Amino acid sequence: MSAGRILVVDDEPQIRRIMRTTLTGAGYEVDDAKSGEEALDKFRDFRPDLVLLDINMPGMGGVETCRALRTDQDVAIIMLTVHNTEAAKVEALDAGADDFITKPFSTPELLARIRAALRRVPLAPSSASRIRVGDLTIDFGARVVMRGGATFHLTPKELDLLRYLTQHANEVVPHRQLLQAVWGPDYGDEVRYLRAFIKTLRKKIEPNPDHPQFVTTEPWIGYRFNGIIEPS
Amino acid sequence: MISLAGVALVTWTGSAVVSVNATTVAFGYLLLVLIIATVWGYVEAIVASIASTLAFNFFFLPPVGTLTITDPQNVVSLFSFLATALVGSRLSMTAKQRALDAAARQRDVERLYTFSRAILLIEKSESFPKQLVRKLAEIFELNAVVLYERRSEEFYRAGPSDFEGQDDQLKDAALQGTSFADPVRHRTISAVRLGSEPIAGLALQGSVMPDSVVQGIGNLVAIGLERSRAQDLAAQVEAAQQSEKLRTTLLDAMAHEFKTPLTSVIAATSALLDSPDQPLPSRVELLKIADEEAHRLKELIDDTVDMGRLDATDIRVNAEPTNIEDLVREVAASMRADRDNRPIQVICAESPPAILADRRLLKLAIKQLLDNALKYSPPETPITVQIGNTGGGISIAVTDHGKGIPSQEQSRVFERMYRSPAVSRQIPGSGLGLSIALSIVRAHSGELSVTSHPGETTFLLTLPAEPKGVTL
Repeated sequence: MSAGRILVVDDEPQIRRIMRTTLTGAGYEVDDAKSGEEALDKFRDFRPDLVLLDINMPGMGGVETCRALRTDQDVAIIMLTVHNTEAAKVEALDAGADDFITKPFSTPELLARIRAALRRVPLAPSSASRIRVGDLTIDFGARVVMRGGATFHLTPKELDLLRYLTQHANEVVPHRQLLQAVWGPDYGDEVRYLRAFIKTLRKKIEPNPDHPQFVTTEPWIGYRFNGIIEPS
Repeated sequence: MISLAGVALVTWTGSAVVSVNATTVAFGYLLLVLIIATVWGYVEAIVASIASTLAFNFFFLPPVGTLTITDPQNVVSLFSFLATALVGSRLSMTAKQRALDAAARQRDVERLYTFSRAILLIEKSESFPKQLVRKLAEIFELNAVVLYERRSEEFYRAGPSDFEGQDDQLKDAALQGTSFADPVRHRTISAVRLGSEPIAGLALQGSVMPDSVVQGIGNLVAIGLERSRAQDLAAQVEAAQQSEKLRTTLLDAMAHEFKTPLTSVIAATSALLDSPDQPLPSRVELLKIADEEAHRLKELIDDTVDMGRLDATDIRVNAEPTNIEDLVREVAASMRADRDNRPIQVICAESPPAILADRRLLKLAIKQLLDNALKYSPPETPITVQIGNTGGGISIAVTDHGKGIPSQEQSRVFERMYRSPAVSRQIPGSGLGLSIALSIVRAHSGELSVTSHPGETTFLLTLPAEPKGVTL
């Protein structure tokens, strides 16, 4: 049984070739696409668990492709970029990527990031699959939140974040603890990841994302989930 | 002489031609003195006054024919005549002098104005102080002008004659602000100041000019020198900015282009190091990729060095007879390895004539066109290269099926470092490729143009069989 299915999207044939070799060697099932358009085609049949997506491609670029793929909430997306700048990273995360990796990268680093992106926060035995906090309902099984009659889908990482925060409701969760719980032991210093993810999460769960009531920031320390959780 | 002749004429007229009384004659003499004072000068007027007094006394005051005067009343009138003549001539002289001064001042102002205009119009073709002193000598009709500039410690000379032996005084003027004037030889040496600080020394010879004019010239020279200095500085800053921009653009583009093969190399080697015991076929594949990409890196570095060495303004063409079809196929083949085996279709309908060209340069130019076609069109679309015979030479049309170049940008794509805002963030590049291709084509007396609409872009390169000025 394979460790997962990965779709590699890059216009550079040699990059696709090396990915195919190394990822297959690591036990993944791999397919590739040379453009964003082809990626969307292959995505439907191949049903990957993770997409490795180059950000610089002619035609439909990586960011646009990422947005299109993001309509599927299940898949993990890692962006490949040559820009090692804050703006490029924020753009990738805003488009819905779960992580990004800067070219050139080493194979062990790539594999670690893939493992982190495919990682799921284990369910605590006691936790319910559907909870209610005030007028907010979170369905972990269906990966949705419902608020004021509207339903929002959560990406796996958003779901994991929310799950971890609700499991530690009303306590301050430090950045590092949250990063390692959701992304894995290799992470800990990427606070800007968290900021990007918390931002998109707030858009879905908060009635007023600029003045959050559920997920509040504890400056310099971490985040806190507020509210009394009841099983629904 | 003229004054004496005038006096004689009036005397003769008064005594011989018309018979008039002494008073009328006195007015005649007075009129004469005033005219002489106005037309000639003070000395002539005084001579005329004394001569008139003597003649008036001798010929008209009784006893006529002697210089003695019997009537004391006539003595008074004679002396009042002399006084009137002297005062009148003095007054008319002053008026004349004022008119002359005013004319001179007007001329000076006009010259200063002309000089200030000339300073503004000085072009960058020659050194600024050199042109400045030449204009100064021309406009003020000086026979020698020397400027010693303190900053450059150089002397600039102009004018038909020399101004020797004053170098030390000039230096003193420039360093300490001292002035020196030699009215006999019509020389002045003065300091040119900017604010209170002397910045140069200026020596003028050949004309006596009032201090105010010398001062005015000094001020204009100071302003001119300062302006030229500021312009030099601005040009230097601009050049530095340009080269800095070029440097960062090149580095950025290089980082982009180099990182792709580097990624493959590092990914392959790190995978091998991480798990050395993987199956042989996978190890071989990784090594092959690393090897191929290392070679691609080498090629990229070679190309970049070539492009960096090309001085777009002065390309040396080492021409040799070239079969263009072979050359194009060679370039197309060299691009396949890392380009997904994308079809580059080379069509050569009629056999093109052999041309004289620098093979290395021409390959670089064609490579830029093919590279662009591959870069800016979707991976599944074909690229065609059509080689034609234009009669006197050959044409190469490179066509891709990408988004196309908006019409307002088509004229700009050949500009050095221009990149279309629509793609500059998405697709890496330096914006140098097409400008280098154009420079190479022009060095071969050829043309490079673009036609583009959505879905099809063609770069057309035409070359004469024998470029102008290029022989074997």
